[in-house]
Amino acid sequence: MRAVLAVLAAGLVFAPAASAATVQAVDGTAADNYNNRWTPQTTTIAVGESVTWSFSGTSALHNVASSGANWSFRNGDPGSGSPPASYTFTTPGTYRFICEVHATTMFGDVLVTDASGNPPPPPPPPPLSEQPFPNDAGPPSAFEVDDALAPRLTRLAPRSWHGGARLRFRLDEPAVVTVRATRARVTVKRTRAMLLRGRRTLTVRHLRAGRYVLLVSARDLAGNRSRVRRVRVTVR
Amino acid sequence: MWHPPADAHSRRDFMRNGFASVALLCTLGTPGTSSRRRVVTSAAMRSQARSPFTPFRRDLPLIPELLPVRRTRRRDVYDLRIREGLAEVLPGFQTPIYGYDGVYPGPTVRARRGRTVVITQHNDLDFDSNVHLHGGYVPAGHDGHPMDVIAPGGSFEYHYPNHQDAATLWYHDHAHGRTSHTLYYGLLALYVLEDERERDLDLPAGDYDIPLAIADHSFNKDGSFRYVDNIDLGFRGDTILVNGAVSPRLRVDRRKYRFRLLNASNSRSYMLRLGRGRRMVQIAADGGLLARPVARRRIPFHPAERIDLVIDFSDYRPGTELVLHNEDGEGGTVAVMRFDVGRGGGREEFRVPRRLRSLETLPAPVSDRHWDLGFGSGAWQIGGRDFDHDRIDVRPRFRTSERWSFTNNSNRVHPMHIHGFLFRVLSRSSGPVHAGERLGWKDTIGVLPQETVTVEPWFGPYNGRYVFHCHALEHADRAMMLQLEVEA
Amino acid sequence: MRKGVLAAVAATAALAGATPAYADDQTITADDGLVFTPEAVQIDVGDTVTWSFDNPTTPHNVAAKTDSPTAWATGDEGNYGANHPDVAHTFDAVGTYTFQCQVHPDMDGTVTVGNPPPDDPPPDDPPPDDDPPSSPPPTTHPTTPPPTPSADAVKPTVKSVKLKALRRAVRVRFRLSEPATVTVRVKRGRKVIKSKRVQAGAGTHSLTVRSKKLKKGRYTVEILARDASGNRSRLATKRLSVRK
Repeated sequence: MRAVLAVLAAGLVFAPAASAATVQAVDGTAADNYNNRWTPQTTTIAVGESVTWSFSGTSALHNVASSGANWSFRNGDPGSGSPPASYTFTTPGTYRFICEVHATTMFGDVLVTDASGNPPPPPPPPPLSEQPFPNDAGPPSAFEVDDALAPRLTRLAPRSWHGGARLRFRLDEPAVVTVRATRARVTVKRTRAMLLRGRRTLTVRHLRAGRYVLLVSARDLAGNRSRVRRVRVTVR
Repeated sequence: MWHPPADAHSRRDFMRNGFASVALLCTLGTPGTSSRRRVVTSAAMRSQARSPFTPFRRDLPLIPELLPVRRTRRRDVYDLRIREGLAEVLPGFQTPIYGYDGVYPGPTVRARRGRTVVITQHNDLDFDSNVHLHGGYVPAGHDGHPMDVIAPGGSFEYHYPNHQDAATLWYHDHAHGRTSHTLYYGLLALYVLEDERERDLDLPAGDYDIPLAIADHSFNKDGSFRYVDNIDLGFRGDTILVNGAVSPRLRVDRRKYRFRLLNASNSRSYMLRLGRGRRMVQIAADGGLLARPVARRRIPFHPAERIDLVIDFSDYRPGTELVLHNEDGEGGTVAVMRFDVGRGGGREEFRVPRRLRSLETLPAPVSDRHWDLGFGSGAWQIGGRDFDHDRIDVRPRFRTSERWSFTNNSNRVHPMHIHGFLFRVLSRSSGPVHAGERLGWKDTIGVLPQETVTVEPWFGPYNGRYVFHCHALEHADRAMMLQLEVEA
Repeated sequence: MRKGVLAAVAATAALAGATPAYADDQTITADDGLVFTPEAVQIDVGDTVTWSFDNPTTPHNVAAKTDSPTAWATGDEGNYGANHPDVAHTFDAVGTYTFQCQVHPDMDGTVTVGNPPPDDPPPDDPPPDDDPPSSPPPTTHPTTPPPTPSADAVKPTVKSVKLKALRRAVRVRFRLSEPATVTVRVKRGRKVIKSKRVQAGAGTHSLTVRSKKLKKGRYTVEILARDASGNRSRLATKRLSVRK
């Protein structure tokens, strides 16, 4: 515990000239709840100084390697409790390092300031081919959407028939079809029936001879209404 | 209100002459990365206004069928190039892929029982590749053993005798240690084997027989596939692609359809449901038709498995939209695809008979073998061993059957697959074996965490050296594979 | 919450300076120092822990703590004395068992029983960022690079389109300049009667498009090719009259 605190202190508080900062690999056995990370995650040193990565007290396999185009470093194949590795930075900049086994959690940055202590230039953004494009669409709101199509009435063929009007038509889904015989915009007679799909016939009976306009519409089981169709018929 | 750029052609020209006629060269990305020519069309600009991940915006792409080079009296000869290509997966983006003839998913081969299929595969890549016909009865030298690779620039003539029952097979890369990458980037395709018996059953065919290759992927900002290594769980993407499109929709007529589903994911298992728990009729498993159709409402679907479903859309009213979804997913990995039921359909010519086939009885198993699945020192292992191509781990006898039990000591699902042979599923420790697995032949079985599954493979009709492995590709590449040799 | 307990156990172990290890039967010793050594052990289900007391004058015992996360009993409760004989206990269930000496309550420790994975202690819930089991990227493992297809700006061409009307079908013959995905659409006016998608290599091909809807009438056949780099050909159109 004391040793860990000392390393933390060294990393955060001071980095004397020409000396090294030490980054400690942390396993699952550490005092806090994080598994497999570096402590500290970000280290700031001046140009010409060096950083040491140490693995004491770890039991899992770790190593340290550079990640990024601006430097190249690898201390070797992953091992358990490897000896410390060092690297001296000679150019200001931001340098990312990872453990190759746990790259998703064990990553960190070394910020190298120039001789006068100015902050380092930020790292260049990764190319688009390396930036993730996460899926922002949520799950669909409904797994089943019922019937949203209105029924269709086609091929309307009216004719006069025995004191009434008979209308032949085609229906494309089960629906309640209403035929209204109107004369001068007033509904004289109305017939309604529940019909299945196909070629259908509806008759409006007991109409006096004359000219009528038949208004036909359909409504399916889900409540979608079709357009109102108009046809003329003369009843003899 | 978005307006197309001033120099864009009219929509009619666009539809007639294709995308290339609207050549808007617009580089996305930092300078220096434009070594690839990227054509951004007005369609891309339009689609980028909305997220490209919005589901159900694209119609289901139909996978092209491979045309033979030559058909003789007894064989069909094909020629394929394993190469790179560009696929349009996210609307408006070009995604680099590896594919058979540069297409993702690769072209479907339609084969008939009794007719030999010869496919010459040319490797136009920079690294080794080979082809494994998954689920096929193939002689060992043509099975795509991980060590039998085609060198870059080379080629190999694969002979598939097709002496087996009608089934939905698939072919994909199987070079050692590479499969988790090569399959992810697109080196997979379907192989539909038909036979006379199946044709006599009058199951939905032609336009109403649709293969669906389901896989999960993630993307980078330039539209390319993004792969993240995860040895433990296996790769998990955040978007579901069906036939290479993001959660597409399919307009269906009000009649029966047969869907050949393939789980082409690296390692994601699905739990499929249709709408609000609607019935789907399963007629076939990996190795061919089931003895009888099995109605299911909830289907567990593991990597490399194939399931043939017949859905009768005349049960639904026109205008109904049914979402096939994954209960085990979240966010973008819930919606698989959507079926939009149309109006008509014409007369129904197809049916699902009550009996599909009779299953052959196997001879009594001659031996019992037990395989422990778990993580050993540094790699996934079967029976405590890594893959060693110089070592034969089991020597079954030719034309016999054995009882094999897989015990999963880890907390990850392992879909176990045996090359070259089919098996029957005998028992599961987690409960009864579902009829959809019990009443047919399979070649891949999902072993759940802490479960023991017993299967009975039959070691015929060909002898030789084959492998068996976990088909969660990240596990297979990290040594979860063993070798078997059947001696004549 | 289990994770918290495990972390606490790990912390205890770290403080004590010993790294607990999953191992077989363990022995915990108590001596004049009024501590159990080691204070924390981790074992598998079915293993045995033996407490041994090698101090003839100080009375000790080992008893289960009343607030042990997993309730249990050593059988030694209330039985303290000098020169205490060894106490052994076999743990049959996964859990965390705390014990103490009833004479010196500060003298305590923990036994963690679990089914460990090879390297890291098992959390109950999977860790939020899915830590893979520690494994070295094998030095002989091949690396497969992502695809980087080279720019191919050559569009495929479809030439020599010949149509032949058959009974309820159309045979389409065409010549392709390079391997491509070809979509053949048979249209009547503007409506697409049937379409077919095939993958073909360079050369002459012939395919048959069948449909019951191909009755007598005039049709237009459209052929479009797309190569692997995404270049599309010009649309090839040809008219056909079906007489039968």
